Amino acid sequence: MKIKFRKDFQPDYNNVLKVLYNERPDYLPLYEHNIDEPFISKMVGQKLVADGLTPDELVDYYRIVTGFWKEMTYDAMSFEAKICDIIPGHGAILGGMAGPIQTREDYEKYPWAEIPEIFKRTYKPHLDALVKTMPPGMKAYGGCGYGIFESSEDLVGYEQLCMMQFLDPDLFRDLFVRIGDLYMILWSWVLDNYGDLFVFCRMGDDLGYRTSTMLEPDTIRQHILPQHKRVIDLVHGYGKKFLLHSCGNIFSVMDDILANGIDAKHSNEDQIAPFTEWIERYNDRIGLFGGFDMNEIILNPYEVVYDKVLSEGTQFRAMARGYGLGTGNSVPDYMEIDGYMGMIDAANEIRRRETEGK
Amino acid sequence: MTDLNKLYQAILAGKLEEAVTATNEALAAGMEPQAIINDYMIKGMEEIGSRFEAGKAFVPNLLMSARAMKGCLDIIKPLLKGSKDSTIGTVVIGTVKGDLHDIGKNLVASMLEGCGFEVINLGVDIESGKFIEAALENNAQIICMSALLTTTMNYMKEVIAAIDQAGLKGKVKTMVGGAPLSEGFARSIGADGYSSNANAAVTLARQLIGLNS
Repeated sequence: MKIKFRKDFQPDYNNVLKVLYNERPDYLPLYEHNIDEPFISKMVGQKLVADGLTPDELVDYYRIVTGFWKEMTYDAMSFEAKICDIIPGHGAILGGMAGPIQTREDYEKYPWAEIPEIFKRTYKPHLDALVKTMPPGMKAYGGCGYGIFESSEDLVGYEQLCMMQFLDPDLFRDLFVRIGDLYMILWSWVLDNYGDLFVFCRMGDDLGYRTSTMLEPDTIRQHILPQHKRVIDLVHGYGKKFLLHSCGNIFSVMDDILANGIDAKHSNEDQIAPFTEWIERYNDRIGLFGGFDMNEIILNPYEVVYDKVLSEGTQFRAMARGYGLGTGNSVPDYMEIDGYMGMIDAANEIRRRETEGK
Repeated sequence: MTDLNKLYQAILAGKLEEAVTATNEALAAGMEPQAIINDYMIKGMEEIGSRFEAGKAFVPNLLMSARAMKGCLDIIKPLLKGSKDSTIGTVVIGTVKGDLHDIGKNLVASMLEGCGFEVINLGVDIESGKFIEAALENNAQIICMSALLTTTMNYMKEVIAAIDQAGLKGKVKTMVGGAPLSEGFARSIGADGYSSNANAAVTLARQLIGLNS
């Protein structure tokens, strides 16, 4: 497959930002929650590994990465300083182990106070390199990676967290408040020091799975969404719009999420609901990103993806006010280049047809 | 007179200590262990499962009920030793090769265990040979496979082919689950069944070994 790099594309972050204002962008913007490093490596024909690079090497690294996003015709690119990746005892969210906090004693002894320094030390070189290499007209979106619930999963373990809710409700309650406190510190640092790098902010917090929410909706309302709101209000306080990425069947708490003040939502899977349902139910209040089930892009050849995205992408753009096209989740390392390029080329064809139709 | 409704309610509410107390009282009163399991404990699990299917209970409720059920079974099982009724069946479960996700698979394992199955949980990234070896070693009736990735779910077909090659077709049933899977995919690879959630997995497992749901 010959990859078409569009070197003449001129990004305009204000275009994708219109989705956050729930306005129709001038041209169809592209969006991904993430594009995995190994996938970008496949695309650019060069093995890219950020881990272990010096600050100077990170500049070279991000020049390639930002250039990739630009030439795939994104107005802005995803970047997250991933909280869970640097917390002591990380790993339970990946499965196969319990987290470092199982008891009140674990919670009290946990090195909460050390995390901000580890976070800054780890991510400052990346953020500095991004500032130096961001192409004109382009910005990042994201901020701190992982959500409130996801951090609780990492600190405790999902099954253990489910039990803790009943066996030690005070610890369960305190845990979410403490995570919220930590998020306020980390998000404030990112926004104070790198606010201009980001066109809008995003938190990813997968609250559901195929048929329901990971915890009871009332538990989410009582313990998780108030901590979301603290982050949302903080982001808004910096004059930034806020996007929530949350996978799974979360319809039972969507009204509460909307009441929290999010500006846009991403993540959709066909097995849960067609994207048109998301547009019909919520696009009068918030912007929407995505539209195409990740599995459809992964499993199908170029022509099938191209035809589907051209047809349905045109439909979504016509139906919705604020809409940005992409997979319903992200581009993992195992995605085929064929399917991905089918999506990118179809989005550009939609743009071309609109321009010619004007 | 022992109030076994308390046991049913304790399982349903996921209250381990109350369920254990009620079980001990019932045994002390001379009740048949198998009757306690069948008429009260499994009924409690069935009810929480129904509520889960109806969206009136959630994963944490299932896990708490399974925990209470397991606590009671730990007391009762030694009394059933030597009886073929000590478990209703044996399931080997694992996430297939190349896939490291285990939350859904562990939920299914907990529910199966809570509902009276002997569960051999192999963990994640499991090759076909390990599934077969564990099934033979434990005389399992079911091999249960999980995958979260579209790339790894195809490996389930290889496991099923290996089961056939090992001469276990028909003797060991296969059931599959995981986010990217569907009923159609399960049929296409020759699996004996597919379930979309942990409670449905219990129902399916019971059907596959010839028990009513």
